[in-house]
Amino acid sequence: MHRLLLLAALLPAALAAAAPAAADGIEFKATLNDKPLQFKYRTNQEITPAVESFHKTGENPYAGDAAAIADGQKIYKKMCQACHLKDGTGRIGPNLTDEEWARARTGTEVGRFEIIYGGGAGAMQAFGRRMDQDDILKVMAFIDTFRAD
Amino acid sequence: MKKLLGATCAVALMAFGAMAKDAPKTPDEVAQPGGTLPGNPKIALVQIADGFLDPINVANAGDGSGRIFVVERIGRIKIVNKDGSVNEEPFLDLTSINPLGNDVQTGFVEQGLYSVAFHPNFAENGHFYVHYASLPFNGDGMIVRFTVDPESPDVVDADRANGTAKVLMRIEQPWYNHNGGQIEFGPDGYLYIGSGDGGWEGDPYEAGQDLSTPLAKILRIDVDVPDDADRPYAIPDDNPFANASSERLMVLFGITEEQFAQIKTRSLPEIWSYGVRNPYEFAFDQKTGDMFIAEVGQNHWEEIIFEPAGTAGRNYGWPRMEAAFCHPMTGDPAEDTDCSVVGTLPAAMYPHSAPYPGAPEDNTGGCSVQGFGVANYGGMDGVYLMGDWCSGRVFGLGHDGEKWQLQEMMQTGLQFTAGGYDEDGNVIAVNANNFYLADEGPDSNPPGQLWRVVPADEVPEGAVVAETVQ
Ligand code: HEC
Repeated sequence: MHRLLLLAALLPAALAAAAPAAADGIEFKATLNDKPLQFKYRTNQEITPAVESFHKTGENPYAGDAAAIADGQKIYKKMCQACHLKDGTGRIGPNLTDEEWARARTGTEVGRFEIIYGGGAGAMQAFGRRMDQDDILKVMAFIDTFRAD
Repeated sequence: MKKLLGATCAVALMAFGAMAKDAPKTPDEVAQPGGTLPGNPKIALVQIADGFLDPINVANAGDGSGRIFVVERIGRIKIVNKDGSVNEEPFLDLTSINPLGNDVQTGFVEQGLYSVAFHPNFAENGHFYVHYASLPFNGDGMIVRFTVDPESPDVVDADRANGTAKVLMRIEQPWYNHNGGQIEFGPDGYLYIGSGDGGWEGDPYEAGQDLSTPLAKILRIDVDVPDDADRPYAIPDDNPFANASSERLMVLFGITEEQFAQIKTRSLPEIWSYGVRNPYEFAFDQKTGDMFIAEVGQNHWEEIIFEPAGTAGRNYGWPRMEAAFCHPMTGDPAEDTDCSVVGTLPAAMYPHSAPYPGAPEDNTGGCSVQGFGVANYGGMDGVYLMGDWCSGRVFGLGHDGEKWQLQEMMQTGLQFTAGGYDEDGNVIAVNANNFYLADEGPDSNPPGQLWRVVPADEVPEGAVVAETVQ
């Protein structure tokens, strides 16, 4: 039963990959070449309401949510900080504290989700292999705070 | 046989004279990104196989079997068959030869099983050689020969490994980084060993310029000695310091300064060249025998060394030099008028995000050069291909008859770790999803892949091709 539920929850994501232009959903693209983003990692993860909503609207429900930001900060420390630095100013990865973005779509939440989930060039790995999409939204909410202050 | 080969090389070199391609003479001749290779070749990376745990090297056995051997950092070697299938059971599994646990130290991301090299007569004698960081020896580099059982060509099990192991060399490693790693038989039949400077940063031992340590060197040894010989290998007669430290009577008069300079009482006879920081990958051009070294740089530049076939005893400058600049870099090298070049310059170099301390950041470079091999196909003539560990860029280095050209051929989402050749002479490469800052351990990082470099217009239909930045 539990399994079935999870599978059902996964369906929207699977559909999004198969039919990226679905009317009610966001068309996610791979950062490097603009091809449809394949949702192929960690296929047994729980698709939370936040993720489901993000897939539909492209807006991060965790934006400004203090609890999610705190979780996101923990993830950032563990997985991102080494390259983007504690204050987000960047070393191996680009500066995340300003409004200048290195890629065409990373100025948007959808674009940032795409590069974090599916990877960019070289060291910007596909973190969708290492964490669930829900955690990606939390870490996105955290990196927003770099630009807020 | 070996001597004859050497002599032929020397004659060929002399015949070429000044026209021969060689290392640049001045820093401004060192190629940088932005060049164009002769014919401007276009390449693609076609996936051969997937699912390797931190693959960090690759080789073929040269026995006509078409097998490709992928080296996994944790201590295993996996066989990829000609049809692309990957054998479940490893060819060699160093995690199981020692009942007390893995024999390989993998605690730091630069440590592990570095490389495998097959004896030129592997098909007859079954000998192959590995270089790895040893856990029992606290990370020292072990170079060990094993011998395949002809009855079991695809699996060297723990008993067979322990029963045939012959330790050739143990390189003491003071620190856990810069271990070099590549071992490879040259066209002369000798085993070349890439040995890093021992680690930390800045070469605390001054190993690069110290001929009494095997660290920060390319070593060359003759493995073809009887198993009951006193030493597990011999020194080729024409190693540059083969006799430099041998005992002799002191003669002070009637000797030239040049002759005095050949006496190096503390030099190691294994040394082939010196002054390298971390020659983690090198390759021989299968057509010419020339050597390329992907010399991993420190904070600011990656460098690629060219060494004409059979050229012994060169000093590549580390730690006096970092690429074409004096080390340590303190500011913009254009304003440093006191720097004079030590040793032989690299053929090419590319920058990190900051090409010198205080420079404006720029993300067109990389962080760590990982050599693949020399391509002699697809319009490429002696083009050394390499990839960057961070930026996913692939570079080609070639000579246009006048000077070196370093061209960025593509930017991918792959973190390249090494390369080699398949039996048909195609250049192959591996990428791993490990990194200093995101290392979850050699058995837990997302799996890496094996790729073949093919001309862009020869990509087979339906092939999985590495995605590139458009
Ligand atoms: C190993 C180094 C490394 C780590 C770890 C890393 N990144 Fe990156 N990051 C990069 C690099 C390099 C780029 C540039 C990639 C490109 O442009 O294609 C990048 C780009 C990005 C961008 C787009 C920036 C822009 O200007 O377009 C975002 C957003 C980002 N990273 C977020 C993250 C997050 C969140 C994490 C942790 C989950 C993370 N990164 C972990 C290296 C890293």
